[in-house]
Amino acid sequence: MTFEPHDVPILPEIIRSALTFGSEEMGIALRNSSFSSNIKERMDHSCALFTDKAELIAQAEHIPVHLGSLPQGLHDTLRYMEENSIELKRGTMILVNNPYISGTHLNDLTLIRPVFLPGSRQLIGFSANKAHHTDVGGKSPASLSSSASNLDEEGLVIEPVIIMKDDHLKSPIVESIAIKTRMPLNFRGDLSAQIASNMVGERRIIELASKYGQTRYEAACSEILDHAEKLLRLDISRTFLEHSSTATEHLESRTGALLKLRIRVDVDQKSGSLTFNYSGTCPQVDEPLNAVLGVTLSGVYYSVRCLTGAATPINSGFFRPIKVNVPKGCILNPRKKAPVSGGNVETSQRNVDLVFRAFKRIVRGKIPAQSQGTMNNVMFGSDQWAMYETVGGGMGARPTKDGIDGIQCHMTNTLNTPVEDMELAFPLMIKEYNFRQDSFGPGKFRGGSGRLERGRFFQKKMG
Amino acid sequence: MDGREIILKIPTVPGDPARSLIEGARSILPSSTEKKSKIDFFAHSTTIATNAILGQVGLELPKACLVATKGFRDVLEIGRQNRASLYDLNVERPKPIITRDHRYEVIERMTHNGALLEPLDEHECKRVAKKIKRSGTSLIAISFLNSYKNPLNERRAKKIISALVPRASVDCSSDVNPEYREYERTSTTVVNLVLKPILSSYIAKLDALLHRLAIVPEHYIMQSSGGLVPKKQAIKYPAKFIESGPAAGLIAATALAKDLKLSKALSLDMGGTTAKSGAIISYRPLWTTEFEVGGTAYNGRKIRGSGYPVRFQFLDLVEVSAGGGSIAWCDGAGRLHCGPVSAGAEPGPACYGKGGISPTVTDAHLVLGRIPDHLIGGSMRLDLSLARQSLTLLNNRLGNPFESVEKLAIAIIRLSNVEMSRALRIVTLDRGLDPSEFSLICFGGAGPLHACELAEELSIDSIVVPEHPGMFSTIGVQLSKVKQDYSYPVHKAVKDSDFEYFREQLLKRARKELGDISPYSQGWHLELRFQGQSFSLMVRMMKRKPSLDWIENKFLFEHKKTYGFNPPEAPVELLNIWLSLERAISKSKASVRKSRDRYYETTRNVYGLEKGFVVSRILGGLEYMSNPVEGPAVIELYDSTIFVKGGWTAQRRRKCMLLKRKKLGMRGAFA
Repeated sequence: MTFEPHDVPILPEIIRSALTFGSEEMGIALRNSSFSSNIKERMDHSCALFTDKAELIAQAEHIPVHLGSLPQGLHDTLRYMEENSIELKRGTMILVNNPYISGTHLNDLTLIRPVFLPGSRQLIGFSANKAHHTDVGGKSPASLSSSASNLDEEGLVIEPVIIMKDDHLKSPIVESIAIKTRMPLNFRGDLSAQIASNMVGERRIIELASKYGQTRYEAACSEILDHAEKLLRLDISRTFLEHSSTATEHLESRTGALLKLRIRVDVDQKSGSLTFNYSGTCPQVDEPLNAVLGVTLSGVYYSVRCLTGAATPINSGFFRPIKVNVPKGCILNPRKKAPVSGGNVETSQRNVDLVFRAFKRIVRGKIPAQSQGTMNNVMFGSDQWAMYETVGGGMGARPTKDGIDGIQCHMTNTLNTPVEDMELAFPLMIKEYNFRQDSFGPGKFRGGSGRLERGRFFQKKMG
Repeated sequence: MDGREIILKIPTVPGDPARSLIEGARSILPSSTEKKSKIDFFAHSTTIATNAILGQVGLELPKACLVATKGFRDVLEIGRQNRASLYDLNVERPKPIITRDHRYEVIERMTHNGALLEPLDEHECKRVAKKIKRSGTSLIAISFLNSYKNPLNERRAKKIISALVPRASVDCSSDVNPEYREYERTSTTVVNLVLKPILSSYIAKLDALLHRLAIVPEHYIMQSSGGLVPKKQAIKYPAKFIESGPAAGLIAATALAKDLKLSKALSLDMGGTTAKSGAIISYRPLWTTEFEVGGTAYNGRKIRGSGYPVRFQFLDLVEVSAGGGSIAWCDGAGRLHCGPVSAGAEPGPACYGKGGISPTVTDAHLVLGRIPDHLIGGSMRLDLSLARQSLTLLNNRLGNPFESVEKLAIAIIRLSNVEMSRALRIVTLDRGLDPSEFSLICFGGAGPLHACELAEELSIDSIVVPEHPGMFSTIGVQLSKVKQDYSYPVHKAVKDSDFEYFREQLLKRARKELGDISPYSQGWHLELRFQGQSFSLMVRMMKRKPSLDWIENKFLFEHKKTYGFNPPEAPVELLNIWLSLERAISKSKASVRKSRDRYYETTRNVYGLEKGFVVSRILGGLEYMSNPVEGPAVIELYDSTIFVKGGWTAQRRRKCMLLKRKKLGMRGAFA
């Protein structure tokens, strides 16, 4: 480690703080200039900064379902690039949405910028973001189709591709993607916003590395990761009993209550490390309830983060004490071409319920009752337009108080689309937008009530 | 009066701010018993609205009720459906200002373009009015869907309810905040409504006390948008005073920027618990149209869903949790942090000797010799040994990584600077601006101590510290003009907008409220965006009758500048038109300034990062300073302390100190 003497106890914290803020700044740039309501209004996006070894160093607090998927996505994209001998150069940006590489679902477009120091060929990090585009083609408007039986029906699959070279956008490639979406105008606008966001991240990394020098910067980064690991190990051994625990949950299949899909986890705490073993989870299915590994990891990281101290930062150091083993080919780690669009929004919520159920036996007095266990995806549209949103529901009762009514729970925290916005933009009229009265579970502390939305459409042709 | 300027700082009595204010005024006015003094200008800013929302004891919000479109009474509580904290399993939603049992529904409906789909069901409306009457509430908000496009049903409901509930205060959302998005409009209407009795009684009390004391022609209050309003108009829109205090600071900074011809300036107001920053461009402060009152801030901006949105004009201020009282602490794995928890005024920093044992930023400054061992004109002594003790304790807890308490103190200040530079970055970044092109105007009790280091952090090399930095906001109130803002929702492509018509509508509304508007100067802004975007840009209309092409081109230019790109072929939409009317108030100017500073010159050891303790010049007061002061030096004032770092030179100017950085070339910029 090469710090200067007066740096030792302080520089890592300064750099951590500046990088975390840098990732938040990326979010501002992305949000302010995007077009899709998912990004601009609902903040269905994530921004992060990485070290040259693709370790996550800072991630803005946007949406938990991207927690594990962005680092996993960068890792897998770099591997893909290496396997296909695509060189990482200064001035490039890589676009990918293949969920088996980028780690969520097709609507989430991941854009990666390798960062180099000015006048040097030395890679010093990555700036990356992921944003939910309303439509990426496929058989249904808004692309997330509940009837898809393979990945191709869920929209256009983009393998990692260089869309920017020498800081110039490769328009033919972008256009070839744009025309396959239902809303090419939005696609172009959102992609420009994603580019602007990565440039902000790059600027912050370069500023810090220039100001403190590359060696000090890198030493600080590695110290930041070690520190997060240390904090998390302490948190874990304080919060979790040194014990193992098992839980089983079910997901409802498309075919209804007849077929229940089992998910199962064994959790084990030993000297500050947590091991999650998902063997016993049902095999992947040919309906879009499969969750790619990145999504499953996000659920685990989220659940652990909820139980740690507020000062524990989330970065690759945080991931180190957590071992997750998901058998290949099961619903929580499917093999390629299984449809995955609902993995983010349905399966991921049940995964949190499952993990918390397992925690109940090894964590005292902190675990809430289960929440709505879904994100209530609502999608509709036509050939020309598409609308997508998730609707909040009942939050489970807490050990010391009621759950909250009609609010976003666990893996999502996206905003609603205002009724007046919807009516301006789409041919529809909303008739009711209230809590669903008395829909909560009773008890010493009650759960939160659900929501009720009714509307009428004015166009016959619906997806 | 004799033309003297008198400045006074007194503590507020919680729960009775009106009395504190009057006591202060009384101590300034000549104590003649025969004749009442005459005050020709009286203006003040107030935090009473914010305190009431935050639930300060003695300021409970009154009960109110809401009448909504059938099927939409929960919009007020659902809000934007997000939780304010991602990982907190015990998170709470802000308590709804109107609980479900006081939210009523009536059948009525407007379409998104303002067509009447269902007229108000008057029979049902009467039934609701009777229920409200029985419930005993007299504050009634009416907020119907799409009413911003057509207020007909809301107005009809208001008529019916007012007739049946005597002495009720009934507000329509289409009058209070005629803009789209039902939750924000309803929230603005409701917050404004419940603040009415609180602000009215405060102003009435203040006015009564004031008139007992002196003869006052009019009494003005500072708005969050940075202008004054006479009291009669103030009580109609109490939610316009939520950020009254902080706005005054930015207004004062704007006036100073104008005096010094600084076309780009950043203001930084650092007090005990928070630091606030705003940007001034072409001698105008930047402003926004929404604020989350009672909310918590994260990285400078209020978290959506943590408070109650209010959509009026607000000066654009970014707030971070860094102040003189911010506590330094050690996490579980032995790393040093600073803030966001503050020791406040009680127990305060360790050196106050009021029982605080955690070291704060102020303790760090004391240990480094950057502040004197007394505060507020010598009336409060600071205990250096207590400060050192608290730092030693923290160093022990950290495992003694710092070889001296001074080194630890420097580290604490560096961390709080990182936090404050966030505030300065975010006000500029949000608009695509580069902070290094700005001058920094630093004030507040603690601001001038951090000015040099912050400027270096942001590559800024010119700093302005006003006279009386600790009471600079007050000067802003004094310098403000009377200001009224109006907006009109358009929501049309620029090329389809009948500009003259909307303009007339706004002027008509202004005339209705103010009567003759010829004494006012008019400022017009257009809120524009690309169709489909939801974040808009505010474009100032420089011409009286701009062509539609001019508007589009101006917007394209601003968008490119702010976000670095313009999407091809997207049409430009005119969202709102804003009108600001301003009128200067004639008042006598103070001819004699009398400062409360004490004058002295001495030396003290002041600690610096590179050289350790260095014998440095210590100057008391600004009055007799004529030669430039080379850093390191400390200038001690009645209400603040300026730390002039090595490499900086301070020069006395009219109304302020100007700090310039010596040119060091690139190495200096990154040192």
